[in-house]
Amino acid sequence: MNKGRAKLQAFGGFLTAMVIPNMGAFITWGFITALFISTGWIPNEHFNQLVSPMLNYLLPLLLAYTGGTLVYGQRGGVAGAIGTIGLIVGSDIAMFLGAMIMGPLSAWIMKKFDKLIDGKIPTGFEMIVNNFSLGIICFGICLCSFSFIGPLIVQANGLVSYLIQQLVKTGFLPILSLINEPAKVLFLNNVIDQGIYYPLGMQQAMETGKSIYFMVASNPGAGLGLLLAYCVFGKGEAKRTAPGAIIIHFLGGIHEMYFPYVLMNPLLIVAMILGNGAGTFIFSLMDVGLAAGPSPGSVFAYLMLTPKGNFAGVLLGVAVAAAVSFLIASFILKASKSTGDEELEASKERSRAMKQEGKDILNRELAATEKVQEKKAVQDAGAEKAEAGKAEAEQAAVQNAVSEKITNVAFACDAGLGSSAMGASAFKKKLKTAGIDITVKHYAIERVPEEAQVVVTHENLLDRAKMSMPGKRIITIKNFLGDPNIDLLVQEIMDQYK
Amino acid sequence: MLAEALKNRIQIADLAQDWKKAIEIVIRPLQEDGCVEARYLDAIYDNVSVNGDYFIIMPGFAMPHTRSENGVLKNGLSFLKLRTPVVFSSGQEVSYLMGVAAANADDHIDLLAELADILMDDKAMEQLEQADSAEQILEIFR
Repeated sequence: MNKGRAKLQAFGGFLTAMVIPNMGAFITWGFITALFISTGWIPNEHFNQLVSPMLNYLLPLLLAYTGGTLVYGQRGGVAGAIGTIGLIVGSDIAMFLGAMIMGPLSAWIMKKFDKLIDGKIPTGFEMIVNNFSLGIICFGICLCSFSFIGPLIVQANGLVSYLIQQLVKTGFLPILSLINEPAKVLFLNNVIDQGIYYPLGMQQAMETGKSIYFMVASNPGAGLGLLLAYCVFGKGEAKRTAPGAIIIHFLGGIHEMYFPYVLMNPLLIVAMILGNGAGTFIFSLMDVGLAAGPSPGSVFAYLMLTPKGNFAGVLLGVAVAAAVSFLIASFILKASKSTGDEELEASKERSRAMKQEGKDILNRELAATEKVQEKKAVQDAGAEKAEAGKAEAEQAAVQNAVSEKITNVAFACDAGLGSSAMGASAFKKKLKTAGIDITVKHYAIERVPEEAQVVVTHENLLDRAKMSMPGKRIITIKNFLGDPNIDLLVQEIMDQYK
Repeated sequence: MLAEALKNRIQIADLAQDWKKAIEIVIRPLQEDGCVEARYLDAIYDNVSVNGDYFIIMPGFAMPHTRSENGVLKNGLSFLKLRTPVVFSSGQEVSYLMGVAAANADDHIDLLAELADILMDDKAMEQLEQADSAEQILEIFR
């Protein structure tokens, strides 16, 4: 297995874990926007006031908080939100990507600092030190992000405008989507649309009554294709929310709806680029255009602004964009799934090899130390299970890698109330009988703190556990009480503390 | 303390038509006593359809419950013994169900620790198997 790829996957899992819990907020915002903006279905000035604060503040801060939480619990979430508000106020665009970077980064800085002063705080002062250290550190982070982001956005806008102008000069319009799509997801689309395409379009429209420039960045087809691909080949929550997102994006014209789906798996930007590139190619081939800039970019706005005789070309361009991006996005989504399978196969393979190795050692040195025997026992157990199921294989692989003394075990289930609590309490009891006192706590899967070295969860919940804690050692069990894997873990810990 | 929490909420039945029914029976007293809202039961079913029956915490013993935001009003426990085990969605047979309503993650931990002790105690489990009245079961939990 390729290590880089696994890392990339873990990263993808992290992005997904940051976006998914907030899909509901995106959808709320999408509804409000599609309905109430001045070009919406039932324009309403009063409710329209909600649109921009939600987009600029609520959504990025939610992303930042979630991202921070993933890195360093609630404390990390708070740090992430503070760090990100600097970005938001310092720029005048919606900082989705910025939030997804700044949130976890601020949390990470906080975590490093806490580690540094860990154990140095006099008893009784923890609360005050914790609050003030967060306040002071985030003060710095917030000022930094505020000061740096403004100039950075101006630079990025300038760069994008320059690149677009150069590409327009080539005369081959499909190539524009190479810049458009990434810029859209980065929320630089306004500068493109209003700064470049619409002026160009209006010039042309005055002469000929229509312009293709109105369509190069606003074609809703590729987004539709991407979301359809999620409907068919997506997983879990992403799959379930995709149909709703289609309505808001394609019919409502709120392109922001598909951004989170791209951010979950950034490779999908390829599908968007090629999809809209293909759409633009059809538009120019059929020599069609729109009479004015469609806002928002919904299929209805398109149809309303299509001049007579251009309907076939416009519709075909949208359809082709959708088809192309659907095909490519499907391929990417499927590929990232099968990579998971490959990885699984590889780790099975590895644990088998390890088992063999363990046996060899044993044969060669009959008087082997206890350590080797213990290792072999663990490997054997791991390898046997690998043949039976997937989860345990990975576990066995990690098991060998971790040699650190275990001091913190987390039991996790969906609610963090019943099953995991029982498991944790029985486990703690077992250790106590053996005279070992380490931290054993129970959590809802998403709340397992970073400090936990080993996470015990039910095999049904493995996927979710992996998603919210990429890279963490996870032990799966069938029953929270008295599962053989728990006994193995008890044994392992007892050996460490001998 | 466990016995205190379970008082008047212990039931014995010959059999349950299916696992859904079994969960309904064990959750009912919690609903009647105002520990959970009606939607709690549906939330448990949803939880099973998403996460499977991981709350079978040891062979034969299920602990149906779900997150507190799904209509938990206050802490409460309830118990059901089935003379004929019921088969859960994953194929596991279950004879004992402990309905759990937990308003937060920590308050009921002592109770669950007590329960864990009983479940790990072979003698108590044998008694549980023999028990044929709510009083006898209550006695085991005492």
